Amino acid sequence: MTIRVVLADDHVLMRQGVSQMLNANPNISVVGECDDGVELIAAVLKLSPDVILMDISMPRMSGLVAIDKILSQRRDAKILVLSMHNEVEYIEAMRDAGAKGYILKESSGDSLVDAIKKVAANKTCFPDEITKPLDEQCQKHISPLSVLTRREREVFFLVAAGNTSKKIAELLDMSLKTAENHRSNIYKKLNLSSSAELIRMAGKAGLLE
Amino acid sequence: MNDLTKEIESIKALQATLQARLDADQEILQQLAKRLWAQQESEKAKLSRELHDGIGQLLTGLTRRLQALSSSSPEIEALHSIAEMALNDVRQLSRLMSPTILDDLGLKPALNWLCRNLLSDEDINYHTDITLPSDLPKDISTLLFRIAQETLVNAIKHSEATDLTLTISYHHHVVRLDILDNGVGFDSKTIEPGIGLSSIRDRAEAFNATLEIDAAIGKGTRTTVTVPV
Repeated sequence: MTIRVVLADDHVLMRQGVSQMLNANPNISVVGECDDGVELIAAVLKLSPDVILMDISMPRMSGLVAIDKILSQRRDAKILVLSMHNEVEYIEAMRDAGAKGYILKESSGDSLVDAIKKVAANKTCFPDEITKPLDEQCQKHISPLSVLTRREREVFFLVAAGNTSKKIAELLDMSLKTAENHRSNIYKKLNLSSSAELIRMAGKAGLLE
Repeated sequence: MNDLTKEIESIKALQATLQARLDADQEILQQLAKRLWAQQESEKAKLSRELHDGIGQLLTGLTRRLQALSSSSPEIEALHSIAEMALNDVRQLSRLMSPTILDDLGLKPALNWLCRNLLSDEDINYHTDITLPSDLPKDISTLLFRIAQETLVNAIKHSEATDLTLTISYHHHVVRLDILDNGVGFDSKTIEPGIGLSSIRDRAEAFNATLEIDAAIGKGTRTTVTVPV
């Protein structure tokens, strides 16, 4: 069965390229192309496509507002966002708005086709960025130091090696107060109350030289 | 007696007329200031697009070519990383110059993005807590974003802070932004405000916003903005 796609992107060359590429696939047919969010809503209502492939930054109506309007008219609309932005804030905002997937414009044609098929089959398809924070949470259990910043890790090892805050400030070329701030943040983050506890913890975790 | 009353009345009327004229002039000046800021934003947007579409595209092409060749020698692999760094710098500069995320997603994601971009490579832990009215006008979003940007840049350059908190709350038609750091602070009597700070102060005034910077040596810095909406 052919997947019917409506495509919205204000960059004409980009849109034509994507459209040509998708139409070359026997399972996909681009049934409508739009310049902006306003046109897109009209096209969705008229054509009831299987998948809506759309950009975020568009004139007249932004993608975010368009998604909201589309979903208020067609609750089961399957929206795949095609964007140049790889920032996690974008991906999260689109997912929260109700998009089923998010794919970067720099992706290969094959991965775009895959994403369209997934979304058409009512699955979700988001880049790794969105799952990364989960991975990082898992890592917390692996290395207790992953909750610390780079600078805090340096301070951690200097404390573990028995240095005073004053000495650490000298070594790392920072003020005494900053060194003490780092130290108290480390204690807070790792739930420790003294340098003795810190050294004990470092020893248990195999972090002492 | 009657004459005196008349005279008082006419002076009062004159005073009211003058006050009205003054208010009108003030209003015109404020509108002018707003237009100037809007113009500056659109200039920045233009420059940002040129940077992104011009140098950005060239660097993208260069990076891709070098990547294709990078397996042939470690020297080319190193050139590829340098080109990639240059590309990322240009993109970051272009985005900070004109944050499209503000138009695309609104102030809350834009501020989270700003904090992540500016602070995560520094040794500053940060926390944001943002509540906004749903219909915040765009010029006010831009105002708050620019004030936050200037404040974060100052914190990175001067504060030696290790923790920073950015909160926005909304009560009774007033939006309040607070940025608090635990850094070295400064003595506001001896430090002359730089161009950046003076500029955001002017900008706040154009929107009837108040900007307060509360700092003392060793006690961190708190920047508070309140703006009626």
